[in-house]
Formats: sequence, C-alpha cells, structure tokens
Amino acid sequence: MTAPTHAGNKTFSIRFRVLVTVSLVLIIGLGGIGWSIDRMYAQSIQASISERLTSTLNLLVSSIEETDGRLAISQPPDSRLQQPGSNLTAGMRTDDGTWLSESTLQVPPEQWPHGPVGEQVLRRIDNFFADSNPQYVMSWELGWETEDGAVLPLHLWAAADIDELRQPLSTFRRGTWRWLAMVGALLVLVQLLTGWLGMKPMRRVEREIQAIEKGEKQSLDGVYPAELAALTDNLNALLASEQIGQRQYRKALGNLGHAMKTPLAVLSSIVQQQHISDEDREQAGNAVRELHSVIRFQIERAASAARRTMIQPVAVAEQAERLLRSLHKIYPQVEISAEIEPESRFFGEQRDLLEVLGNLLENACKYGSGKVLLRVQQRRDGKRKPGLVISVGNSGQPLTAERFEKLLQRGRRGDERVDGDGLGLAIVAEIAEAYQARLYSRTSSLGGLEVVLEF
Amino acid sequence: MRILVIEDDLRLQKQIADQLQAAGYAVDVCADGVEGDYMAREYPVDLAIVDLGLPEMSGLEVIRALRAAQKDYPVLILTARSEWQEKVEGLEAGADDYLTKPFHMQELLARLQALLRRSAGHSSPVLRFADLQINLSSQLVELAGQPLSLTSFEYKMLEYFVLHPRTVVTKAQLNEHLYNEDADPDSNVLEVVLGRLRRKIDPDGSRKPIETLRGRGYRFNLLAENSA
Repeated sequence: MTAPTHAGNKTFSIRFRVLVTVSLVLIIGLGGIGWSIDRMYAQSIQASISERLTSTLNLLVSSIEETDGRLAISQPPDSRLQQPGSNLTAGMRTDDGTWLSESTLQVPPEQWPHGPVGEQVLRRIDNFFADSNPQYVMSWELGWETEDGAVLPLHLWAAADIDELRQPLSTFRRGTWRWLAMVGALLVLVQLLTGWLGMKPMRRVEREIQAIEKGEKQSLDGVYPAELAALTDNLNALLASEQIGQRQYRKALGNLGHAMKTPLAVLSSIVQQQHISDEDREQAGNAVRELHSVIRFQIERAASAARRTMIQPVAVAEQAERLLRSLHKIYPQVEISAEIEPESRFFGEQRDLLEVLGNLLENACKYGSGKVLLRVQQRRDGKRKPGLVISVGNSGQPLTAERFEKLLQRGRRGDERVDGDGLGLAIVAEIAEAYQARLYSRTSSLGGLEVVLEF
Repeated sequence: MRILVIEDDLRLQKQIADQLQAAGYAVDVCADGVEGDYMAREYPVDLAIVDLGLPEMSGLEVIRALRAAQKDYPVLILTARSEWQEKVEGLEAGADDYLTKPFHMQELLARLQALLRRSAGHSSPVLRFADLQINLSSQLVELAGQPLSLTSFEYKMLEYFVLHPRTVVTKAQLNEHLYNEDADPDSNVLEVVLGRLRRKIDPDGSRKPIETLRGRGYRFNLLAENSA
C-alpha cells in the first residue's frame, strides 16, 4: 500500500485514505460490538449465579429442622455443599451456633455479610475465604418463628466461586473475538476489492495520461463511468484546443517576427549608408537594434508562455549533441566539452530546451575565452517528474552575482541598447520563469562565469 | 570571390548585393528557392547566403540539395526567426553559420570573410607567406612590414589565390569568381591586373609566387606559415 504518494508532498492516495477510514470504523465498530456482547453475557451469567444462590438459600431454609427450639441442618439440600472444592458453599448462624457446609473453609464471624433483614443481598467479596478466589456471596438475615411462637434470628449465606463466572466467560470471549476478527478481515477484503474495482477507471485515466505524456497518445480514448466522463471529456477538449492553439500561436508569432524583421533588416542597411551623418547613423542604428531586441524578446517571451500541459519528456543528451555540433561549426576555435547524464530528461517543450542551451552556450562561446563546459544532471528527489540541473561555464572573466543580475535585468527590460549576451540571457530567464526554474550564477571550474538553471 | 544571395525580399536582396559588390565580391542574386537551388548547384559559387523563408522551395531544402550535389562551399543562413530550433535545423542541413535579421552589413561581411577563410583551412584572419602578410579581415596587405597599396580588384585576385594555394586556377575560373555575371571582361584586363599584382607582391621577381602554367592557368605556390 502506498502511504504518501509524493515524498515532500503531504498528499495521501485515495486508496490509502479509504483503507485507513474503513479500518478505523471496523476497529471501533467491531470492538464496540464485542464489548457489548461480552458485558451482556457476563451479566447473564451473574444473573444465573444469583438465581442459583437464591435457590440454594431457599433450599437451605427448607432443610432446617427445628428440635426443641434449636435450628439445625442435618442433610444439606445440594450435594455440592458436601463436596470440598465444588465452588458452592453455604453457612448458617443462629444464637445457638454456626453451621458450615462441608465444601466450605472457615469464615471468620466478622466476615459474615450483613444486609437488611428479610432481604437477600448479593455482593462480590474478594477475601471471603483466606487465600482463595473472590466469591459471589448471597446473604439473607431473617427471623425464624418456632412452633411455640418465638422468633429466632437466623443468618444465612451461600457463595459461588468467581470461577463460575470466569470460566464460561473466557470460553465465550475466545469464541466471540475469533469470530469478530474473521468478520473484520472479511470486511477489509471486501473493502479492498470494492476499492480496487472503484479505482479501476482512475487507474486507466492515469495510464492514458502517462501515454499522452510519453507522446504515445493524443487524447483519452477509454470509455469511462458517468462520474469520470465529464472530467475526461473536458480534458480531451482541453488537450485538443491546447495543441491547436499552441501551433497557431507559435506560427502567428513566427510570422509576425518574420514580417517585422525583414523590413527592419532593410532599415538597418539603409541607416548604414554613407550619405547619412555619423550622428544620425548611430542614433538610427541604435533605434533599429532596440526595436529588434524588443521584438525578439517579446516574441520569445510569448512563445515560451505557450506551453502544452502534457508532453513527452525530451532526451537532453540528444538535443545537446545537436547544439554542440552546430556550435562547433560556428565557433570552431572554442573548445566545448560536455558532461551530460545519459538518461537526463527535460519535462517541457524541446524548443524551450534548445533555446536555453543555445543561448547559454552561445554566450559562453562568444565571451568565454576559448573554453566552455556544459553539465547536465538529473535530480532524483522522489518527485514524479525529476528535476534537471543545467550549467554552462566558461574560462572567461568571472562575474559577481550583482553584475549577473544587472545583465539579466538589462536584457529583460528590453528598453535600452543591449548586447547579444543580455538578450540571450533574458530569454533564458523568461523560460526559467515560465517553468518556475531557478537561475543563478557562480564561478565555473574553468575560472569564468557559470550560469546554472535548476528545473 | 563569387557570392550567391538567395533572398526573397527584393529590397534586402539589393542592399546585400550592393554592399557585397562594393566590398569587391562578384554577386549573383535570386528571389526564390527553385531558382536558388539551380544556381547553387550550377554556378561557380564560393559562398552562398540563403534566407530560410523562401517561396517555392525552402532555404533548408536548397541547402540540403546543394550538399547532396557535393557542393562544399560555405553557406550562411539568414533567418528572421531567431529560434535555436530553426538555427540548428539549418546548420544540420549543411549550413556553416547563421545571421539573424536584422543585421549589420559589417557583421555580414565579417562572417563571410571568416567562412571563406575557414573553408580554405585558415583559423586566423592574418596569413603570412615569408615577408608577405595578408589580413583577410581588414584587407591589409604588407610586404616586409610595409603596407602595400592594392586596388580592390587586385586584392580580390590575391585573396582568391591565397585561399586556393597550390591549385591550378584557370583564367575562366578567375573570370567566374571575380567578375559579376553581367560584366564582360576582356582577358587582357585580367592579365594586366595579374601583372601589376605580381610586381607589387614580388617587386624584385625573386620568389615568383604566382606561377604561369602555359595553356592551363596559374598557380599560387606559397603556403601560409600559420595555416591551421
């Protein structure tokens, strides 16, 4: 059974929640039932002991013989009263003396239980007999009217050993709890089966979503129960509109960029012509560059915001290799090395990964004094989508965190003249923000700036 | 050096062509992918500038086709889309460098020179042949530490020779790679320029760097000392 589904994320699976709840209900419910049955059974045995002792006392009274105004029992009414260790004992006291059944031990006179005259009283006395079990003792004090009309005080008791209660109760308890445990286990099994059957469609949704994320499917195509159908239908509609929307959005952005940049290139070329004054040329050139930066940055920003929700993870090594081969063509003099974990995956758009790697690596090639190191590591922190750390270091001048931040802000504002490095970095920062990734700088092992992105 | 420019925006195409001609290159232009594909495969091109967003046939297809036809001259991509996805696809198709629009003409020229130099196997823009030194970037030529004054055409001819060392270069080749298509060069002009160039880079005639191979053409016999 899976307890927490995500480490660090305090969410429990539905199955776990249902199982815990049902188990608690079963423990409390079956425990309560067992306790109640136990009490009722104990009370019924106690009642039967009380009845037996009443009947013993009544029989004792009927077996009293009166001879010359003296009371005696010559023949006990129950044979168990004559058997030592029979668990049934009795005693009688009159002014003339005391009679004790043969089954009994000595009872000190002060131990004799008293009660209202004429009333039979049952009580549990723990040390009725020395070194023996507690006893249920029924006492009866009454007056005996003799033949000559005198009334003699008579004090009777009958006692039953507590074993009379304990033995049947413990047998009963063993049986009851065994049955209750079996019923409980059966109910847990039924619950597990119900849960499994109930969660089956959910598991199918999960499998289908995984297939969509792997790029094996475009939509959820299973038939789902009414409760889930609304959700899966909406999810399908969302996926479809997202795919179409993203394609159209990116195409429109691309077309917009294309449409604006070619006239800009013309303008840029015109302002470099000789018949324009140097001052005008510089001002117009700056304006064109600024316009270009703003267009590029804003289009990249809009494009990186248009992400699909469920996409196949991208193999980083493969894309990085493509970029490294391309960059080697453009910067053959730069020594670019790479340490990439072979199984590293980027959970996002391939386009965004290429933008991040391309901009970081190209900056490092341009300003890195000849050596560039790309490192990619997967962070396995137990989450469903493992994190990724991308770092690009170079052998150029190191940069303080403040200067790095300044460079970042300068590029992101896009409102002043920026160099290629600032713009490329700003695009990386924009993608990092869209993915809620952390972007920071440190000093590379090669001695220069190292830009780190933690997804 | 003959540059092929395939760009569908006619204003930009003309500006690039004008600037390249002003810098001494022979230039061929066309505005669509199909014509570009033909010219890229059939013309004596030293370098091609290809816009990726072309009508009829995309720039990527043009580049793939010329590489498939065993054309190994450098190709520079022009793209309005600054996405790395597109740049990488272009470079994978066989391009050697890219330039994002809008660009500075100076940057385009610098990239062209670097590509031409690298394709000839030189990593540095400064080539040294004993006391003759040629800076392909600044186009400065020095002999024994003294700057040489060369005309644009003389420089282009020297550049062509030094980038094709120890190779037989025919007169027709020189015409094709140094003159525009619409020019009608007189073969005597070529010989006059060559004669002047020889006197300037080898004033005492002791080294004879450009050898005449009778009936076949010419050969530049020096190898750069700092060749990569």
